[in-house]
Amino acid sequence: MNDPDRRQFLQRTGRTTCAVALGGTGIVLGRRACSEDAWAIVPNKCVNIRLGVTGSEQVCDVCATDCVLPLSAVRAVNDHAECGRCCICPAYYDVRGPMGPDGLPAKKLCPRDAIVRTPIGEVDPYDPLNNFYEYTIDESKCNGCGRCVMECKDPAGLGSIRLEVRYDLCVCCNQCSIAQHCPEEAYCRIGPQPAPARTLEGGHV
Amino acid sequence: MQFTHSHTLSGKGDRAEEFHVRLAGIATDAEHRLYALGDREIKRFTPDGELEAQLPTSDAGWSIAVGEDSLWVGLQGGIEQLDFDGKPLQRIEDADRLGLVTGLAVVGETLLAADATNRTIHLYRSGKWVQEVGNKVNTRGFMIPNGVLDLALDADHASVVVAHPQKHRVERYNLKGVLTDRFGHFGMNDPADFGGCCNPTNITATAEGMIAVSEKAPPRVKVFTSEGEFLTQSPDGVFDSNTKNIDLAADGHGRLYATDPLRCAIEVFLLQATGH
Repeated sequence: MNDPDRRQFLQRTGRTTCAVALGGTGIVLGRRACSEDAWAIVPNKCVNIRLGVTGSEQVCDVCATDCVLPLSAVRAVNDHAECGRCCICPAYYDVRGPMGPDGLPAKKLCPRDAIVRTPIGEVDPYDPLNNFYEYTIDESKCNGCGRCVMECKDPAGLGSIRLEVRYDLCVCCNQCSIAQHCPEEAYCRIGPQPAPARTLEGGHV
Repeated sequence: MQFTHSHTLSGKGDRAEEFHVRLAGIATDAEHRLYALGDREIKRFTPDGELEAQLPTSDAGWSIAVGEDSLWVGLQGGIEQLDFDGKPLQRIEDADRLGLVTGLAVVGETLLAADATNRTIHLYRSGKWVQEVGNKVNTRGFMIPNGVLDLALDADHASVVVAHPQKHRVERYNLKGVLTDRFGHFGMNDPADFGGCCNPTNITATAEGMIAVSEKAPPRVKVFTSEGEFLTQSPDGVFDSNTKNIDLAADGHGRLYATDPLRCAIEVFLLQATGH
């Protein structure tokens, strides 16, 4: 490689490196700014999550209906470490509905059929009650309506299913439509923390 | 069969008859006294509900049973035997085999320990481990999403009854560990059925041979004949609506005791046969 070629190569490499660095910094700063404007559900305020209100007929589905996205950014999440892997999961089956010939409820609870039930390990084909089951949320179907959360909560269930704002989906609107319509003020902005006061209010200087 | 709520014992607080943090289990003796295990002690109540004694335990206990001449306390990885004055007599240390002992039944030299960690029942004779119970019919162990496995000695003292929450039934085993009977199935509408993900959670047998079981969400107590025919259930509104794993004990005077673990209270019910 002669001298002019080497100079051109070094110039191009330098420009590319600078462009990548500047672009990366921009992405990081952009993400950080977005995360400061994130929205989150306060569990002890949300009627679907907090203790004391039970039964899917009492569900609040504002998260499902009021998000600006076609499919809400709020989704149900099952914490598998907490899940009891029950055979008759009240979040999966409509336990108050009619029974099927196999002794299990005939209908599912989720109106969008967004929960997948899979037997785990060696399966006992003769006794479904003798098996453990894994319950996973199909994110392409779940719209965060919260019915499963309502039925899984303690003490009826173990509270392993909860509602979460998916930050990879949320577009971080400045005026979130869900927050505006949440009846319990449970949908809150997680903004940057205010700077700590230099002196305590009412304290001695 | 009449099933009425009589009164409440103990509770959460600082008084001698109350518990500070936790009420784990209850049992009765042949003289109809009530033993309540909680915090790190056993409180003994007279049949009239007066606090009679406070007996310290070496560790936080999870279950209690009364033998002919001693008390047994289920611990994490062990079982402790005390005399009626609270003096330790022996301790079965079996940490390799035993997890959290949440249910105990004792008859003579035979001791059955419900192990919630390993989801099995261990049978001991004279302090020596003999075998597991129930593992042949429950090939994946007892299924207890509620975290507690409970059993009780049957009125005939020749078998034990076990609450199997995920299978929504009561199972009966003889003292050789063989399943001899079972009753109950899932259902949300008929009170004879067991609803939710995992009920019944706890169990006891009365001197007359009836089987009482407790449920969560809603918290209640149901009474069945020995063969599994539904008789009655507790009145509404007695327990905290969020309480669960209600331990049960019955005496020979028609009293049925039920814990409310959230309130650290013991609810006293009366079971009376109605005349025909």
